[in-house]
Amino acid sequence: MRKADIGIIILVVIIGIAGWSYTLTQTFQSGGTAHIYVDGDLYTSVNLDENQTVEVITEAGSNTLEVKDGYIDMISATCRDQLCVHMKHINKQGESIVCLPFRVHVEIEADQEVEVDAISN
Amino acid sequence: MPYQTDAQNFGKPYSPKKLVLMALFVAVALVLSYIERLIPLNFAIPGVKLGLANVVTCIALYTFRPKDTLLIVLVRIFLVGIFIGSATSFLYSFAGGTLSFIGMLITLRLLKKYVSAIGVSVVGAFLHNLGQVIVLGIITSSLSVALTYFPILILTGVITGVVVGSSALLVFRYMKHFKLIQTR
Repeated sequence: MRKADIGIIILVVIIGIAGWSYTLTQTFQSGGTAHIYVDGDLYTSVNLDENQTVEVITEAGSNTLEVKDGYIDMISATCRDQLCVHMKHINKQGESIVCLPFRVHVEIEADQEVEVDAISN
Repeated sequence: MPYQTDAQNFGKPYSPKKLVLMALFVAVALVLSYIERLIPLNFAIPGVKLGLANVVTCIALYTFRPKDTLLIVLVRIFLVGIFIGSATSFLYSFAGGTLSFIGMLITLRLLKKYVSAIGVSVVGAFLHNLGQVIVLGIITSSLSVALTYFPILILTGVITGVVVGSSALLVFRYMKHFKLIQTR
């Protein structure tokens, strides 16, 4: 271990912590709409308030998502590594689940309808 | 031995010893990539890897010319892609592998007197993860997805980088002891 090693380690840790604190400053609100994307294009959107199961079937395979008690979770996938299935269920805006082999990803975004209701109320 | 002279006369002359050593490095990297798959580090955070193959890149940088090291890295990525990877994982390893190679080379050149294999491999791990996050951002075309994974990958990269660098240092000690190769 030489001087520059410690410098490099400290520098990289600072970059990591800076990135981490940036994601922490994003205020995450729970609820909203989960948008499911395939290859970067919107596949479908689901309301997190309704319990349901969503199947995403692509040429590569299929992913099954479950919406339950305001959370959305990947419950099964036909991919090989099963990483997305092991990922935690999500319920906050800005959180995401990614299935790399099938290029499927789920992102929770603010519910637009809520805003409309708020105005009309 | 006709094969030796053939290899020597084919294109730029590689000595048989060097050729065999380079092939050995590729083979070791391949095996390490396979072993890495057997260690399930990525249960909660996807994409977290030990980066064992980086041990080979690290040692190669100290042993061969940069051009030869790049060749070892590219052949390894290509073969891993064929044997145990998919088209997507090939993209990730290619982006990560080439970026980390360039970074490690620059680190070694600029800070040769002040840096050991540990620092070089931490830079390698950092850039490898950075390359993967960039590809992730491009594939999902979503900045927020990429940003979510960035800090976790970077911080675990520091730990695995130190582990990988320390292993490279240990291997150096044995290679010098057995006079297998002279380090540059």
